Amino acid sequence: MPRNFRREEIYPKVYFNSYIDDKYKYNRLSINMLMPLEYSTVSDFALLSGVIGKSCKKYDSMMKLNIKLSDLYGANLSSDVIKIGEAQGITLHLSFISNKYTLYKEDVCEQAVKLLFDVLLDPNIDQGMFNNDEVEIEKDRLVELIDSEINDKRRYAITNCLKNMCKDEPYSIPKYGYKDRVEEISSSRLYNSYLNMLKKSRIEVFFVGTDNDEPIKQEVKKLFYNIKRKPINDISTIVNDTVYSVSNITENMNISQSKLVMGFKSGKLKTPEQNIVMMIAMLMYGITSNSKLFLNVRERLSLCYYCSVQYDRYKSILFVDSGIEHEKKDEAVLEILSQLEKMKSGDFSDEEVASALKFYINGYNGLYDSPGSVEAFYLGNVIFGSDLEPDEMIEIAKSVSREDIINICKDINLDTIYFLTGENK
Amino acid sequence: MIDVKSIGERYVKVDHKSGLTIYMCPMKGYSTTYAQFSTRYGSLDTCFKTGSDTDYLKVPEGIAHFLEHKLFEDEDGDAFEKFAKTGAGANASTSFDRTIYEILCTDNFIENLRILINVVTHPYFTDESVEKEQGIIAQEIKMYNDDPGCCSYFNLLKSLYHNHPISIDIAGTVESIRQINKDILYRCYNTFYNLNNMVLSISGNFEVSDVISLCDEMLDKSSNLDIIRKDTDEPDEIKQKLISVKKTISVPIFEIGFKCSPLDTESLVKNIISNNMMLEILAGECSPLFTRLYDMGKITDSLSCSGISNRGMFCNVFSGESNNPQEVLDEILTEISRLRKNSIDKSSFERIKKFYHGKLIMGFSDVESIANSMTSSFIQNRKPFEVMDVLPNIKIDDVICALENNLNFDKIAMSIVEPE
Repeated sequence: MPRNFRREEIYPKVYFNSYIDDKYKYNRLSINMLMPLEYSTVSDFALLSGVIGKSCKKYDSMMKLNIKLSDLYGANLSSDVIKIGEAQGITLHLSFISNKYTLYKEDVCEQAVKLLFDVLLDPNIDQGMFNNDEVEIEKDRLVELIDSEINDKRRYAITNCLKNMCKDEPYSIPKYGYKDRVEEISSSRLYNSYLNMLKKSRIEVFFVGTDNDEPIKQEVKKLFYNIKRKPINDISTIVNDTVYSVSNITENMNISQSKLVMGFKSGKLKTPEQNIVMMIAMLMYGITSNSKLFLNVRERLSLCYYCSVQYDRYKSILFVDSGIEHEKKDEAVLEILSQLEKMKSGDFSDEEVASALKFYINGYNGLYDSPGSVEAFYLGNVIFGSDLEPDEMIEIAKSVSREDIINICKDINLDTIYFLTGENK
Repeated sequence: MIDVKSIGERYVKVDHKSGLTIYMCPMKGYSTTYAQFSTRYGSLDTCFKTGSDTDYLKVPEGIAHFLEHKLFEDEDGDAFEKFAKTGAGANASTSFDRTIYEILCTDNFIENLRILINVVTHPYFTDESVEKEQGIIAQEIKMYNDDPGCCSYFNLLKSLYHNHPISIDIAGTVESIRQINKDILYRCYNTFYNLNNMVLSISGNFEVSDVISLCDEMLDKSSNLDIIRKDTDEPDEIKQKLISVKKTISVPIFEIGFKCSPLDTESLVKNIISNNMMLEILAGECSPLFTRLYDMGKITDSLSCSGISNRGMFCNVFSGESNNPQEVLDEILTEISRLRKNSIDKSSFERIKKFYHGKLIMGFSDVESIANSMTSSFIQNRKPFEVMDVLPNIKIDDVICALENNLNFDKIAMSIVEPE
């Protein structure tokens, strides 16, 4: 299947990526600015992502900016921080309907593109600092966001397991930063962080949609021409695959269902090809509803509603998590490990491999049906250092053998058992 | 084929001889095919009979959801295993008024659809399998119990409604699902999984004729049962002003509800759009109300507002996180009064119309949302994508009317989940 994904380095470390397909009804434009994940800068960048999405010089209050967005047929602007491996990024994203679906034949695309770059490059700055009131509001909001990690118990448990597995590594730094650091940021310091980011970050612009991408590329070229940049080198992630001893952590909380998280290290950083083997193995072990964990921990033993794997290819670690009764912890742990042993010893059928493969193919074949998944795929590839296209990945996946799966699973070692429980208070 | 020019799609409706309604929307250029096989049966259906029954049957809370779990299992194994062999993604869900079984695939669609139809039309329940499922669903219920947003939402419905089943938790309770056995499951199945009460919606990459041939081959004529749902006697007044509970969270979560009379079904779509536009003008991200609450730090992030409309009920709900939910309520009331006094200006109305048009276009932009919308039209007895025809004809007076009628100050309830 011929694909028309374009990628061009228009200035050093400023990339323009685009994918155009006539079937889409809306366009998605995003600007991702990537920096290394560091203790000293994480909180500033997190705050910056809140401040720059709220206004700009031309629309100098949140309300004015929102009215403009609403006038652009409810264009959807968001800004957030992302953490991919040991890279932290600020992402600004705007979705807006295609010109062909407007009521009065306006050029929404042109206006939307201008607006997003105004928000990024022409912020509401006065005398070398961001608007103080806006910064204070966003500081409060960020502190509340950091506190709110406790609201989602499943996420909270995984985060705590990760903190233990990767302690003393940048990966344990939370993406929204630290409360005490946020509180000390001033409007002028934030402005310096902003300039620093524009100067040093690796910039990935993505346009996925249906309208013409050429004028957008030219606009990006024009806008970044005057920015004096000194970009950083490529960002790498440390993979530490040694397990010294298994940690057992139990935390009490007033909840009705206990959360079990088991963190595993899965060996050295994988090549893009090895990563495909790993994905097939993980689909079989605990991602699909035909996986070993689903069929045994949930269906056979009736221990839980969910028990599944999340694999992080950037850091070469994985988590198995499940919501269970307090007294079933040991039974669940034993079963999860016993199913992993089956993966390592080759105790799986050819049908299990074939079904994981079909699931894998299904996912990549449908990738181009949504602008969001196209961007997520290529941005992930860029950061992981892979230039494999979906079609090539499918071909490689088809050649994965039983031995490949067994061998890759042999590198998986338990590191941390984290248990969040409502019992024994 | 019926053209829906405003969203650039065409669909076809087939009243199949078996009694099943089939909606199909082939979408050019897409690799994915998505199908929903659904029944007009959800957590609201707690008391019912068919034309031939003398007495109403009252069933345990959570049974529609339980049935959904059990249908994905048959004599020769789990349905998930069958789909796994073909690589399709399969899932099922239960809401207030419907149960949906869905598949998503890029290959072997007809083979997958055959499995889907077979699974849904062949129930197989045993005492052992019912007991096993009780363990799994009990964990699902406990998971939702720990979800503060879910808890806050249902507590609001419990405070607004005395008897209406909208306030029942969709999955039931750990106690109520213990009363479920295979006989009641079969009784519910035989009532609601009648093809005349069901719809098959398909969107994306497929051939219409293949679907028809398969349905001709697999589906026998179903005699139309007359399903009678017992109406609940629901007073106009709210049940209680406040439900407040404590959980391990960081900032209080609130829901504020205005109880309203059920919307007139004749012009349901028009009423829903007018109401939504009114909420957007009152409390959307461009509104003075939202800006004030945000800038003063009275809400932490967003203020969501939406109308909930279903059989025999309608209410408007505002929700968010705040250290002082009572102040948020006061601000909302002040703004409603101000807007009623000054009325809605023409420019905001026109802008919100564009806003709404854009949101609809973006909402109809993938295979899932297209099939979903066709399913909804069957469940609610209306034309698919009707909203696209109705929106241009909404007048400012319709929105003003919603502002006057759908926010009654005497029928307000609040639900709060507070940090421990």
